[in-house]
Amino acid sequence: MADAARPVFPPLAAVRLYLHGDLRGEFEAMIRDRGWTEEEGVKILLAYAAAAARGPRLSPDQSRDELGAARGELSVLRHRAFMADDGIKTLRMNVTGYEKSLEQFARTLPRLRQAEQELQARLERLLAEAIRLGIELPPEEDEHLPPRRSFIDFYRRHARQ
Amino acid sequence: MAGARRIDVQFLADDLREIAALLPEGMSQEGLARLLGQALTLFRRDEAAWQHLESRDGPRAEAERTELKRRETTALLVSMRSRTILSEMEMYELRERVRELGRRHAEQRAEADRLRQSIARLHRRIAQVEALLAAAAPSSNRDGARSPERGPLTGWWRKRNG
Repeated sequence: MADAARPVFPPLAAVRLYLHGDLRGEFEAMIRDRGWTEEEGVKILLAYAAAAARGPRLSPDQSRDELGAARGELSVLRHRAFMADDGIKTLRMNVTGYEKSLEQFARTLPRLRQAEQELQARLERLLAEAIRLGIELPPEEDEHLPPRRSFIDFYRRHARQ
Repeated sequence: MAGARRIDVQFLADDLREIAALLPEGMSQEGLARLLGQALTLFRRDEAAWQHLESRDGPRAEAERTELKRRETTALLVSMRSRTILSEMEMYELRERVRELGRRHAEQRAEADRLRQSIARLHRRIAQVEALLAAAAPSSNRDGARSPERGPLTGWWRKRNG
């Protein structure tokens, strides 16, 4: 079931670059001026080269149409990225909350299990003693009895009489 | 590589293919660095051209401006595509993690609730049996062990439950 709901993401490809010397200096100045991260800088500049290479093959109309389409897609992507970032923040808070709660259970559950075992052993000793003394034991309370009626229920029933 | 700045980036595979097409010798770290250098030069040249075009009118200038805008917007779009997909993938992974943590949390809370109920039940039962034993103690002192035929020492529970 979980697999059926799994979204299909387009494949990504990773690349690694080493920048040194003048190129490194030029690149760092550019991303500083533009306020880009280094990843953004590499992606934007390499994609710019690819976009420029397509330029001579496009008519002015095609160039204008591509610009319109790119603007539309960019706007949609910005919204999606914003929503995803927002979701990530919330989900990270959920993860932190659950992890803290599970840490708490990791501390309390062993104590509760041990307490249950000790009480069970104590009860068995007492029951053995009671049997040895010939004491007839009352049945255990039924835990699944319906909850006692509230005072309001009681009042409703008796106020009508 | 001493003094070199290493940068790892991810593209959509389709976008990277277009970039790789500009490297006739094939994809390599050196080729990509060289292309980045060319892109820097081109980007600065186009920026200067844009400044120049701003003061010009006419359809030709407009077409050139449109082309420069297309290049820049397409480059931003390529950067944004992989960034968005990476964020959405992270969100999906986190959602799966939250679901799994929620499942474990529900299980452990159910076990804690069960244990607390069991402990409370055991306390009640122990108190009940201890009370019976305490009530039996004086007569036990007098008569020794009570015979089973004499029945329970306390009949209150039978009235209550019977």
